[in-house]
Amino acid sequence: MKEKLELLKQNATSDINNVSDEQSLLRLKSTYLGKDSQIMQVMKSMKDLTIEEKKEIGKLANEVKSFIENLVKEKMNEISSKKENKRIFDNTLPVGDEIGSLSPITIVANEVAEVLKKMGFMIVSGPEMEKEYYNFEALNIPKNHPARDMQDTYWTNLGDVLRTHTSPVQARSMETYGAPIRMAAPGRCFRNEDIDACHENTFFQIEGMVIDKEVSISNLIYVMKNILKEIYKKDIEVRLRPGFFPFVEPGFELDIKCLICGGKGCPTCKNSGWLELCPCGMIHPEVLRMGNINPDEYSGFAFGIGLTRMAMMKYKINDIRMLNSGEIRHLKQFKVK
Amino acid sequence: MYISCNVLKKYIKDSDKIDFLNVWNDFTIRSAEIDGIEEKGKDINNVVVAKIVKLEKHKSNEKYNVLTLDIGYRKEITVVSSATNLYEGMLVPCALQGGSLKGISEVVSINLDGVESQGVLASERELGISDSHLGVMDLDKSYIVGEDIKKYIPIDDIVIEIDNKSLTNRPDMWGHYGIAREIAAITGKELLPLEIFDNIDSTKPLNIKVEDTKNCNRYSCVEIGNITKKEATMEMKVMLYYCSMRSISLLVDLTNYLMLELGQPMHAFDSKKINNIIVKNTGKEKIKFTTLDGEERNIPENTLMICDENRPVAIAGIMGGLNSEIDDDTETLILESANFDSASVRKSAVALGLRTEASARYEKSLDPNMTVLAIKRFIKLLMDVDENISINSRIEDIYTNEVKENVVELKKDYLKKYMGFTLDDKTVCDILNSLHFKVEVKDDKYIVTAPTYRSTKDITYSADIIEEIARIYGYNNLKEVPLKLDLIVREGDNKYDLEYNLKKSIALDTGFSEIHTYLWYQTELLNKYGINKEDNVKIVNKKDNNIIRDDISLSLFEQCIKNSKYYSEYGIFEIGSAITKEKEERVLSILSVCFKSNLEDKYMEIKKLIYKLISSNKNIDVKFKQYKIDKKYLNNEYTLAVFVNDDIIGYISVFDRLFAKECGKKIEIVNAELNVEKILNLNKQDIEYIEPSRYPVTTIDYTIIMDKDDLYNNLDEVLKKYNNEYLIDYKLYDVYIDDKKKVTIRFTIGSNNKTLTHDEIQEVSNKILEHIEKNNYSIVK
Ligand SMILES: [Zn+2]
Repeated sequence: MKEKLELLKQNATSDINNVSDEQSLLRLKSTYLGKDSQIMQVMKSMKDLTIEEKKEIGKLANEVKSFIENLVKEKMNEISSKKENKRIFDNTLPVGDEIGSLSPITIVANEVAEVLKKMGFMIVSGPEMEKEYYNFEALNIPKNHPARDMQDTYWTNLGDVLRTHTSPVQARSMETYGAPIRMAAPGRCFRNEDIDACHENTFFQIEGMVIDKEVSISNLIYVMKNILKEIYKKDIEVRLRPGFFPFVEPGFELDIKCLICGGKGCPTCKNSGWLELCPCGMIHPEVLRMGNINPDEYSGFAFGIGLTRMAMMKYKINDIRMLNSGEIRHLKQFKVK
Repeated sequence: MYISCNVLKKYIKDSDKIDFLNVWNDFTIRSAEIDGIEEKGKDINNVVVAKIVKLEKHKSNEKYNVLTLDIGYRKEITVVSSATNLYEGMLVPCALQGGSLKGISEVVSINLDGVESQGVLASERELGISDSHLGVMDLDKSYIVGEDIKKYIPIDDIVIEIDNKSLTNRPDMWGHYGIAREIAAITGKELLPLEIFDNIDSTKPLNIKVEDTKNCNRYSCVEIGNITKKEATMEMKVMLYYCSMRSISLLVDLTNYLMLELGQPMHAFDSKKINNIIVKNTGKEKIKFTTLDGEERNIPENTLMICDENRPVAIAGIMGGLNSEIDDDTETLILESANFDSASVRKSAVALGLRTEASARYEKSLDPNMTVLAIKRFIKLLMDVDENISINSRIEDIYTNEVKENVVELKKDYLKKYMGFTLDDKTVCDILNSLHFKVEVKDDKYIVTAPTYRSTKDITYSADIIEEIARIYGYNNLKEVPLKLDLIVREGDNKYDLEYNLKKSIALDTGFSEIHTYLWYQTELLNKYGINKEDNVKIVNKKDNNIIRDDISLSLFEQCIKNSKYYSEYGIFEIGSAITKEKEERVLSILSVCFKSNLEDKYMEIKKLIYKLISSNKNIDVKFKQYKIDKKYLNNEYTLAVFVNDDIIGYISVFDRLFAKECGKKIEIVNAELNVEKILNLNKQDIEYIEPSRYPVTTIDYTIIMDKDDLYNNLDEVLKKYNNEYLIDYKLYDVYIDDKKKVTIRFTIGSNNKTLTHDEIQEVSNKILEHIEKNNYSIVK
């Protein structure tokens, strides 16, 4: 009887494996598991056996039965899934082209803004047409100061200016939010310049400012290094050197090791091995005072990063005019990530 | 500004211990920016002093002379030269075989029409010490034949170009002596005093009057006579050339040298051409004046000028006049060394369009305390060349606005706050002393006295002293310290986030491209379409395209004209500022350029987008209503205003054909604008959860027949008016157009309190039908 069951198992396995349509499978199912099937006959004939034989054969018969049942079930799944999956459309058609693009400036601005947000900076904005006071006086640039013609300003017939830097947002934020504060302000600026491949009269910056009790130059160095590390996703070497801006004291220029040549010297870095990236400094006491913040109690630092320049470096854009050209032939490539 | 290291070396003790090629890295991070370092003389090698022993015409080519040269050490060579200024006995620089000159990387022996030429004679240009190529240099007879030319002429030098902009706030560094002072501080060396002539016997006064005491801080001068020499030393000439100035004559060279050395501009008048000196302002008077470059200039009002009794003789701090210029015959001169107000000089220089080396320096607020020193230094240098000069007058000196040493108090805890750590008293004093600041140490503070050359504008606040300490200490030696944790949440104005989210959503949803356009219109475009923006804000100092935009869509349209050359269907958008005299607002504009046949799809795509943009950002319901927008380029037939809470926050429309045709014959432009400020100010609505009815609802579809040009909006107005407690809502289900417009509406009928009976449902639907038909619409049965 044992042998019979083993044989039955073998036959059923090979028969079921060989069918490929539903009907033949159903036929086999009734042959091997139906009322008149051999296995049922075996089970029926067990009443003539001894108790010990009953135990042994009964267990074996049940095993063989459930084995065949499983086999049928699996085969049935296989057949029905094949039926449903018949290819009725072309799923290899390409996708992705319908995603639009953002300006390269928007992309780098957002990268910088995201880094600053993580460091606890709030993002604020200011007007493009600015009061003379905020663009100059409030930043310690009085009338007749040489810095006023250094920055060839566009003046409007209302006596306002098109802001020459994002720094007026410093002064505005001090008035609006007071101290302590951590803020960043991306935005568009304007200079009265002739346009060529390297010069634009319209460009983008992001301003940053921190004011709190006990803010030091050492804090500034730490924060600037970490911002740049995050932006460039690598440990970059930076150096600080004196720079003159009326609204900071001490003022610095922050340079990074040239990303193109790694510091050996190349045309991009004018052979110095360093790229001038970001003017920064400790906020001038007069600027704090004009923003109604007591310079004896609070100190702070501010920085400005040229987003236009950063975008050009990042995407190796060699003609600045492309950015304001409005030509989607160029701009389409900067797909939303 | 160019700096010659040969000159710097003279002012610093033990300067031979300084590496003048590499010290500039330290200078860059401590003092000012370097634009370049050039090693002069590297390309000049094996050039010796040679004597022409014999000069003969070349036998087969009369263009040439054949020279026998004594090159020292009892050696003679033959050189063929075409120069015309040669004579027997002349000392000349000669590059020997294997040597090099500018433009000749290796001198070799060559055969010129049968004669072997074994060297090359050099002009000043070939030695790299001037632009003169007039002939072979006629060397001073005191030079020893056979010696290397570099022994007599300082051809080897390191010349540094310093970025002028980085010296804006450092008037003390506008000369070699100031740079040397900085280098001495950086390297811990001693600065040597300048040699001056200080034995002036004459007591003769000069008649000087300063009328404009506000703009003339100090006027010093002296009369020097019996000048016989005409040329500066070779050394001085090379230095001037290396510093980008031309050698002209002894006196002019000396004034220029003094300016390069001390930073003090000087001017020499020919004594016989002027009669007394009056420093005064031109006031309202407008005059013409010929400067010594030969140009006649219109002098603007309120220009400070140096005049004699009869006429102006110089524009103060900018340039002298042709009428009083020194020339070859000048034997007696009046030497001016003055200090003028920086703003006044700057204003005049800008108004004249004439910026000179002198005005650039005065603009930086020079120290008036160096005028007399400069005169004494000038006399010393002149005497070195021309020992028999006479000092004809005393030094006349009118000092109207005295600059004193600034005294600044620096609290120790303030210094610590700025640095982030404590510096000991010795370090602070050493650093400040190296910069020639005096320091008095108190318990809790330092009392710091800045030298006058740092007191004109640069050192005023304690933060200024901190900068001095920090930069010499070395920014690279400062620690990096993280900010202290601050857990205050501040959101800012949220505008940036909103704008970024809008832009990203649009790009993702539509496939359009963000572009940036200028803040001003192309005036040409406005003119072409007769769009009047004359009342807009204007830029007064911009030549063309100076009308500031109050409407972004027009700027984008301009870009479409360009882009349509490459694409037929595309979209662009921008969020930018639109400015009127009253306000500046951030505006989003979208232009979708498409074929006429796709207009409906594209329009609805934009409509859907606008809906999603606002509802996804603020969860607020948006309504569209027909409207007229007052813009010349829009076809108002298709204009919908975008309403939120009964306020218009934007519109959707289609460009007028007149404009759209610029982009192509069969092209239309869908345009949408949203006021970002208004979206920003909308309060975000919370989602109000309403539990769905526990009882079953029934839907019934009715297809309503409309005229083809009738608008869904009209039908909607009708349906909206119908109220029934069992009508839960209705929605547009389908639109089918054949000879009529057939609009299928799906009505949902039910109750929150019970299951409606068949009869109740029938009653509601009958009433709906009745209401529709009463309003003159028929229903497809
Ligand atoms: Zn490089």
